[in-house]
Amino acid sequence: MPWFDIVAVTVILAWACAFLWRRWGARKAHADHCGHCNNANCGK
Amino acid sequence: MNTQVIDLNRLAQRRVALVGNPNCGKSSLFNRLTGSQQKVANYAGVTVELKRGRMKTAQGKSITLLDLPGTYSLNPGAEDEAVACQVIRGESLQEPAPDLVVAVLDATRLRRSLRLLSSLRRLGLPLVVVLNRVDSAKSNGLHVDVKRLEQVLGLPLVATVAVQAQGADPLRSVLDNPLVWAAPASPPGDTNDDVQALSWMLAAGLEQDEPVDGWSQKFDSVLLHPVWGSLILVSLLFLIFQAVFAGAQAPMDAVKAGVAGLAELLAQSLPEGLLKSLLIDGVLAGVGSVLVFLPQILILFFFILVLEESGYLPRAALLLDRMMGSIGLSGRSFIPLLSSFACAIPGIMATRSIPDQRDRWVTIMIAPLMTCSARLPVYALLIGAFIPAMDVGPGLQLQGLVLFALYMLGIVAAIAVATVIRLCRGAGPVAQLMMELPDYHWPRPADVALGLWQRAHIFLRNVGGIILALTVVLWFLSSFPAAPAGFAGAPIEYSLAGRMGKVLAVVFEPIGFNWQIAVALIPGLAAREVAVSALGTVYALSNTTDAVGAALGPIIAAEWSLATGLSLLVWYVFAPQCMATLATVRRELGVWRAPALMAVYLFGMAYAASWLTYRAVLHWST
Repeated sequence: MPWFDIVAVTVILAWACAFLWRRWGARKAHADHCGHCNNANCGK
Repeated sequence: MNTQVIDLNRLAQRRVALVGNPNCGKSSLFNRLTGSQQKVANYAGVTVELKRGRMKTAQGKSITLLDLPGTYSLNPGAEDEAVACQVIRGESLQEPAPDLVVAVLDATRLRRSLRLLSSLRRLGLPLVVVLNRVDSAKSNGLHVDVKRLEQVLGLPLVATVAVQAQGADPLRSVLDNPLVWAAPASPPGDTNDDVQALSWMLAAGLEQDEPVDGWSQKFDSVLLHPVWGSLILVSLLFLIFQAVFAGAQAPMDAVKAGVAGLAELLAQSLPEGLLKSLLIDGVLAGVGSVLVFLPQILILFFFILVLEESGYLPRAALLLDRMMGSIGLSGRSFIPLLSSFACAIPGIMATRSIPDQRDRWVTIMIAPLMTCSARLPVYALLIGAFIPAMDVGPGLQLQGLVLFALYMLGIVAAIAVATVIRLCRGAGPVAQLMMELPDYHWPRPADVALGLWQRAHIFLRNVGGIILALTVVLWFLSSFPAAPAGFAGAPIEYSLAGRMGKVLAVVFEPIGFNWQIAVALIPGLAAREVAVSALGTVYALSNTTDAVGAALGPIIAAEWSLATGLSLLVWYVFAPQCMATLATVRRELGVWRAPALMAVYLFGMAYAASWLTYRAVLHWST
């Protein structure tokens, strides 16, 4: 199996896991969803 | 004029609160001043919680601007009004009292606006007055002499048309100059606010209470008619769902062609291996399956935005008030339930405008039964796969009819649940609906375009974020452990996801779901549309074709029975496949019991309804 495949897939998978972890944290913090954040300037 | 000197250097920490009646244009002004894009609509009760934003004054000073929910007085009736009153009075635990209150008056509803201003004066906070919607008042024959009104009130006053940015710069200049901010002397304690408002109006030469919009009255005589109005409402909804299928085919084909072309390009340029499988079978098959439904979502929201902007929606609430009363709810529940058609979360938050806690609890419990936009990709996929695209009458498409029926099924189920709750808990007093009806006006194309852009942005952000991330994880779980050489069957069946799906399939077998559907339902708990991308990935790894992203519909049409397809459709009408909704219910009601009860009753209803559908279709088709 080409090393490039393994590196690329590992990086993408790590991004996905980190994204889901961050999102779970953000939801617990202020349950923002569909752009409903209290802070109008937070960019979410 | 009473003035108060404020240190300009401390302006950076200053908080300015926008206060006014519901639907007087506070959020439009807030968006204009801060450059943010808070939800605005032509009816009362859109803003139900405090919003903060930063704005720059004319001299570049930074100010924190607070957009408060609308209130008619400082004696709150509902939770959203209480939020506003607590902040203004300095009683909020989360927000200190503002340094300046900007009282937003609606020039077309001046008497009730001035009543609130009279109450605000008593608090002794520095006040600046904004007279909004002067253009509407003028076009309806009410000319307000701004200079004279300013002298009568003894407060700095700026005339604005918030939706057109008129008056924003003069207001920025006023906010720059604390020397003109007036902290009014408290009037005598027993002053009647209505008497005060009338005396201000008379002193300013305003004898007409409210301008009369003849056109709005003429429209209302038809649109609020118990028979004609109801017929028009049902016809409008029916036409919207027809348009969702009839108008979306060409742009959907274009997106499908784009996804298929990209898959073809990747298939030719990448060598066989993990990366190629991840990008084609995972990312493109999954994300592409969801992306094709963007045109349908935009068509649906185009009509909702037009109805919102025109001022029709609160009329619909009034029409439905009698029906709501029969199930123990007031028309107040209509706006939260209507918001739930976009997403249950803002709908559940909008229940803060319901003063009766029992009504609020019931409204929250039935809100997830309203068909949110996240269900649309699932419905569109299954309807496209199992319902033939045929006309059943002049201008009547069967697919649009089925979509309409699914929306209606959710509404009927909500009515049934509310009725059962009313019977179980006893009928409480039905609150009378008091709702301000805004004037009709033509929707502004720029506002509709902005609303569509926001909706598209939310959808694409979800596609590029949560859906993509879950698709990548699902691809991994569906690819490993890799099947040994000589394994009979598709390699995915040997994988972790395949094995989990086969275990879960035992539970779902009575309602006709196969193991692929069982696998898709798990990530689908994060957001409903993820189930479509998950099915795309699972079938891409189960088949040899490279174009599943563009052709998921034909594949499931070939692999599932009609009974399974319809059973899954019905499952999505009821099942609470959205953890964020359950978390919001917990946040709003403060107890875990509420989301637990909601999950149990909705999953129970979903399973029972799917079982009935599956068995009935099997019986009918054999």
